[in-house]
Amino acid sequence: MRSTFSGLELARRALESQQTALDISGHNIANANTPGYSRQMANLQQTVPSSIPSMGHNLSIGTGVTVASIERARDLFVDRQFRWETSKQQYWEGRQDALTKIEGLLNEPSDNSLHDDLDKFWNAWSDLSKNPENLGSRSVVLERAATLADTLHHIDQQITEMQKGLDSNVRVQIKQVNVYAMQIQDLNTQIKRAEVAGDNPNDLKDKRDALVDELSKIVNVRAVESKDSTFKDRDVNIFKLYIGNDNVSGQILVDDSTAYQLEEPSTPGADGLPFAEVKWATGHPLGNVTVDLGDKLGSLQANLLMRGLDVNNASGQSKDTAYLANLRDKYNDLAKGIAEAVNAIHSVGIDRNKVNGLSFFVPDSGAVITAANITVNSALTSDPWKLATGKDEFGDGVIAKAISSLSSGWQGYLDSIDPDPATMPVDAASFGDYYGAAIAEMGVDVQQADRMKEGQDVLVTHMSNQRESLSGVSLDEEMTNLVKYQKSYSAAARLVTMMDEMLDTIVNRMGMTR
Amino acid sequence: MLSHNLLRNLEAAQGRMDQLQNQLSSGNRITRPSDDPVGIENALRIKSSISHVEQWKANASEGLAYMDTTDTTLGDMTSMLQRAKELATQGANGTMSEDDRNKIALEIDQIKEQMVQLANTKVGSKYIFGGTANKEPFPNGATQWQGSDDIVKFQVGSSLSLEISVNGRDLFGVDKGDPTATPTPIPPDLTKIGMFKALDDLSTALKTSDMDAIQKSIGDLETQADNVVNYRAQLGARQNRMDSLYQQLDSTSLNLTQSLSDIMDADIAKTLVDFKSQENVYQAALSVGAKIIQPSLVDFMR
Repeated sequence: MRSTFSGLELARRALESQQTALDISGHNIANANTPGYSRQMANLQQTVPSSIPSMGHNLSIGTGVTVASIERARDLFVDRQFRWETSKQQYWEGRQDALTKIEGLLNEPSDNSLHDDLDKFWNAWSDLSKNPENLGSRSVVLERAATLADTLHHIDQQITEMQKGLDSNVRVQIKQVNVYAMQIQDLNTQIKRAEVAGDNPNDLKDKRDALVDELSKIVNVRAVESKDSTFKDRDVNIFKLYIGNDNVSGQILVDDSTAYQLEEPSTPGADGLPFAEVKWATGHPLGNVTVDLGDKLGSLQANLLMRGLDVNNASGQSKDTAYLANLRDKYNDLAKGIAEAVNAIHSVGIDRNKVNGLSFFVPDSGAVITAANITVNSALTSDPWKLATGKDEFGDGVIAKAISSLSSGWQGYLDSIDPDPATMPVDAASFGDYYGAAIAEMGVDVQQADRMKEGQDVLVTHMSNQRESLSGVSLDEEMTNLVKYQKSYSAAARLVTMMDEMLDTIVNRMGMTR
Repeated sequence: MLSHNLLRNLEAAQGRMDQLQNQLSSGNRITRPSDDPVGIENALRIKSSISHVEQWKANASEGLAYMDTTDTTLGDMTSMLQRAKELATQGANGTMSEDDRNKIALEIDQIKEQMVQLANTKVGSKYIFGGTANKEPFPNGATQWQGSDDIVKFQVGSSLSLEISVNGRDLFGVDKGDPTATPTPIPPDLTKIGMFKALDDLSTALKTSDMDAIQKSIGDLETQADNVVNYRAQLGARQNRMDSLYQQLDSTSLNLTQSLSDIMDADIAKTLVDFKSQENVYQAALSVGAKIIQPSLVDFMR
């Protein structure tokens, strides 16, 4: 026996479902431009059919439609790929940024660069060799030497400034990671609460995905969602977020409702040291250890590798783990080499009073000459006549010529020093060659960063387009849906009217006798 | 999605236009090392070379100036020695009186004074016959030699230095002593200066009317004059060499500048054409973009 009003109930269900579907379409249209929004779809399903006996057998008859769930269009695999490519792209972007800045500060090829200063310095000696008795030529040599030293100081200072800048970036990013972790944990709790109540909180999940996307720019992330087996009759998920190298296990940042943090780095001193270190805070399952960030992923790693991994900024680091520190080493070697060569030749020569030359370049602090402390000996600047120019006679200019010839090679150097030194001041055919090679190498590095970033840009755009095509709102589609649901609604409304008329017949006119 | 792609392509087109614009306004193809790392290494090397070559050219030019002065001085000395020889020949003439010979002796003295002046010629801060000692070669009226055997050299190549003068000691015949004498080598006597001694001897001979001595002086003066001419010839040869070196350096500098330009300079014509076509592409992208992002079903439904 079927219920009298079941038809009405069926129509009511239809109206309700179509209206819900319309609302969902409206929600999609409203959020068409919201970043990170995934298109939601109503999952319309038939309700449980009822079974009515009819003439000896059972008939299963449908009872209407309901919105079983509201799903969002999201592909986890595309998400994963997108985040992976974003991490790589942000690494190369960070690296390109820093390298371009370095290129700018070195200012080659121009007429105001270290290379130019070196050339002028060697030429000043050649000039002096013609007129050793001329006080003006001596002053020029000392001035050019001072300029050279100044340029080296300036470059060293710029490198330090850049390192400090990168270090403060690292600190900010560590804080950001921590903030994201807390926010994601918050959302996890809210989502879980909703899921336990049987709901599917799509908008909260979108928010969480957006946060994870942002995090993927800083470090490599891996989100793992699994079903919570304690809840058998509803869909509850456990959300875990890992960061850093995928091959190292245990680097978990958010474990469902627990958020771990990165350790707050120690405060730097006036010289900017020690640099910030990326470590797990105490309380993390792995302990207070350094985070393994993986291979060229995320802008945090780009900053770290450019700045230098060693928190005390030691010299001798390789180019791959400490680009700026390694660059500074090259300049230190250049300064030391120039000082060594010039000092060695100068001390063999004699000045006007037949006294052997003093050290031309001295460090103004510390024992070893570096780009930061190279200075012209003050005894020479205060008395230019102490410049040794001659070998056997004051006026023969041989020493000045030998120093000037350092520009093109070691012949003059070898001729002046006895016995021949075992190694040359720098590991190249001349100072100019050493410097040129360093510049060219840097140029290649910048080119590489440019090209890798461009390539990654294409990949990220491709992934982003894929995501958009899946989860993005297409206004055409929504409009069509609106038409669809609206017509269904009208039809369901017509159904109500018809049911009403039928019931009217039954209630008001059946069995009425006059 | 359409709008993302559009934006990205517009940005890329603008980026390319920006780079070409940069090249046009600076005239350089390479503005940063990353534009062409191999090119920049070469460019830096060539720049260094140009800088050195220019310096050596300047050195050579200054050297030539010195050599010219030295040459002129030697010429003057030669003519004065000739005059002295003439006077000596005159004095050797038996018909002259003592008085006349005295007068000739006075002129010889003057010639000697003038010769000392010439010997101490100074150009700028250098004594051209003093060598590297940088002191007046014949101070106190030529009583002693104070110069150096070592001639001043100017650097005109990376390991090439040319002498810009002549050996003052040998030119004026300063005594060398005898290093091979036994049992002890005799040190040089710096007060014995050949040329001035010859003139002094002639003057004395004329004043004392010593005919034999006068004859001997004529021979001495002959030797001295030949010596000077010899050195002048040497200097002339060196001058030629310096001159041709200067020319070489000049053309090397030109070639290097050309090479540098080939590496560094932008090909203006090509860059302009590239820029124009890029501009066209950009404008086409803009207008197409405006058309495709507008309509959707919304515009067509009631």
